[in-house]
Amino acid sequence: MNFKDKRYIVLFLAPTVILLFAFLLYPLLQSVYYSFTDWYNFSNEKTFIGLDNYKQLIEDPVVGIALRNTLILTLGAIVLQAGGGLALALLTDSVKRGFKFFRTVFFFPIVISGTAIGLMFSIIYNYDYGLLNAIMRTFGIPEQVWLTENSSIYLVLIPILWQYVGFYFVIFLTGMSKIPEDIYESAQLDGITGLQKAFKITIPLLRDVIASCLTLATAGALKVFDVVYIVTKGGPMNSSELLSTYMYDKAFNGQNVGYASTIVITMMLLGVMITVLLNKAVKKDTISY
Amino acid sequence: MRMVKGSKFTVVMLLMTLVIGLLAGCGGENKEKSSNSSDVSASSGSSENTASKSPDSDKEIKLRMATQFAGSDPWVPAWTEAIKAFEEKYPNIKIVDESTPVNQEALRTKIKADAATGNLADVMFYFNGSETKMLVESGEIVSWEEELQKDPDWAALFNSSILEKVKYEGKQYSLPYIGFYEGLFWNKTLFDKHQLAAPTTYEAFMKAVEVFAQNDIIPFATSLTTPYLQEALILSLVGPEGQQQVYDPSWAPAINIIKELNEKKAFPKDALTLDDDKAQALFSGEKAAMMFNGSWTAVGLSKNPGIQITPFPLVPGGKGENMIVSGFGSGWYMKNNEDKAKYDASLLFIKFITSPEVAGKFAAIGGTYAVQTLDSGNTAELLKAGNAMVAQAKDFVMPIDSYVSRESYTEFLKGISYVAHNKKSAEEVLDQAKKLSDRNKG
Repeated sequence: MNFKDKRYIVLFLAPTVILLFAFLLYPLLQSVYYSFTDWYNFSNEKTFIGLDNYKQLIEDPVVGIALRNTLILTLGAIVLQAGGGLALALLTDSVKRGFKFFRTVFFFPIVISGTAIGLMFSIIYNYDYGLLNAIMRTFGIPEQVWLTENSSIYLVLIPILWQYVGFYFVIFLTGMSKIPEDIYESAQLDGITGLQKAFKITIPLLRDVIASCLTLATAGALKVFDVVYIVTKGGPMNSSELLSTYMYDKAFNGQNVGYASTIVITMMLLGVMITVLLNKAVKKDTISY
Repeated sequence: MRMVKGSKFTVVMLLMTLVIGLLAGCGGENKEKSSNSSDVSASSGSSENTASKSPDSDKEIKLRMATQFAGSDPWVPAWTEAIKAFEEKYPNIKIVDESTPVNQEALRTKIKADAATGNLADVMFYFNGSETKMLVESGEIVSWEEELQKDPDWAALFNSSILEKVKYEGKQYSLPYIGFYEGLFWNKTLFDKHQLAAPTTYEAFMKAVEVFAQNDIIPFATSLTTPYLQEALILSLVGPEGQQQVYDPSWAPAINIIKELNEKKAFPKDALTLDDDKAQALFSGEKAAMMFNGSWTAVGLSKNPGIQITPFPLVPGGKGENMIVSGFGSGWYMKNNEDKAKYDASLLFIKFITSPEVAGKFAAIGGTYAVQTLDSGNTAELLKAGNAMVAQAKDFVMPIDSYVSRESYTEFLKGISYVAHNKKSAEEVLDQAKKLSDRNKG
């Protein structure tokens, strides 16, 4: 490679590198610094306080709730989002008619914004005019307060799962379309059943796709914010708080940017840690057909 | 080959359309408020719909405005009309309206970010009290003494005692405008139907709670995430001096009354997740009999002649009889522009908006005013009753959040739900809020 080639490489990479540095790396490094400061009200005054914010974070009971909820959400994303996507893809792939219809219907929630989905579900759960209580009234059953301290995190999980299950469904469908047809044909000659086809051929051959989906689902679960914020705002009594909603609350309602930055760094470290562990657990061997 | 050429052409056309669309979108970023049509009729009295000359009328001046008059704020129609009238009167001045709703602290965040980055709007209608400190520290805002002195006729429009009350460290950074009060709204029709006395005493209030709860009417429409009820209870119990003792343990019995009311089923079943708009809807829809809220809700409620207003009753052993949370929580701030034309145009706008004609339009919507207003002659009975309540009140205090740190206040508010559901004691909540307040005295 001569110098002229390298010059073009630098030239073409420069915009991306500059943008990544300006809008990702630089703010991230700044956030690391802010997490060691007392910084209130977005003022120009920042006082270095060492590890005090991290000490507060360890003692903060809401952070404990947020971590537990993040774990619930991550498990939900892995089992129900990625798992649900796989199940739907397997079912849709085997239907003779209406394949395009099912593909559109399952993928549809992805194109709706999280805010709109959040609003829709907050109306569904509303006590006075919500859909669920309207159904209860129709059947003569007493109305319920749906969003309670015990139920809120599971109820906000439903729209999040519903929104993204179609995304994994499409990824799995694409993966399945790459499996050569002759493998199935020879298995059919040996008298394979539908379930055996799924468990003995399709799923093993989708291993690398499944690994990618698990990583995506986990990373996605750590970033959830909009739906939870619209439906519950992290309440009632912090019961559906996630690290992301708590960070927002501290930064913009509490105007304590230093502590909010500490939460951001924790989220980032947690994300990196889980992704590395998951990548190690599910080795992404390339499968050649 | 033709197909390939055809599809390439289509792709190129689509990409071009996308790029042009994006560029057009960016180009339209200057959100000039060319005065949308408004529901409020009548032009501003001072505008007279004739173009006047601003101080530097050859030059087009753009003024950035950041106020709370956006979203569902009741004064949006009056604000929109005022901008329209001003732009008609001074055609060379264009208003860039950056108004942001106060909900979710959006306005606070915007102004604070603007101040931190040296990008303050030319004219702001923003909070007084602890928030003034941040603006003063930016070193970019005008102290009004000199301008008020230069124009005694304009200065005479302001109520001097209110001007005095909103001073920060002895200086007049904010010009008070719309004042507010908080009161106990009650539905006389529902009270009469259940043969209940007006909730002017604590006994009558608690009796009403009991009777309405038994009759499947929500006694008190509130969200446990909003501050109004606890503000009223704390003031009623500890009085104005006690209210200034930030998060003092003496506040605890007042907070415990919320727990008592919750146990008596005084609140909507979903009070933990309800927002204030929905609580208001319960009251205006006559599903609830009482509501403690601010004067900004009075306009909507005034259509129902059965709705009355009274100060929150004195709680047993209380020191705050007939005292109300009221004041001028926001005011007009002006950036100290080095550009003389911009400075003069901003001043011109402030004088325009505080003129009796324009203020009269705002007053017709509600609130109490620190400037003289031209009576529109159609003030609703409930608004008159609200103003009478303010006139008869023994004392006024500003809300707690005007003098404590945001973080401590949000923790305090969240704590109310915990106390109401017996998950924390009032003392614990106050102690937690006090610690946060001590850490950030700003």
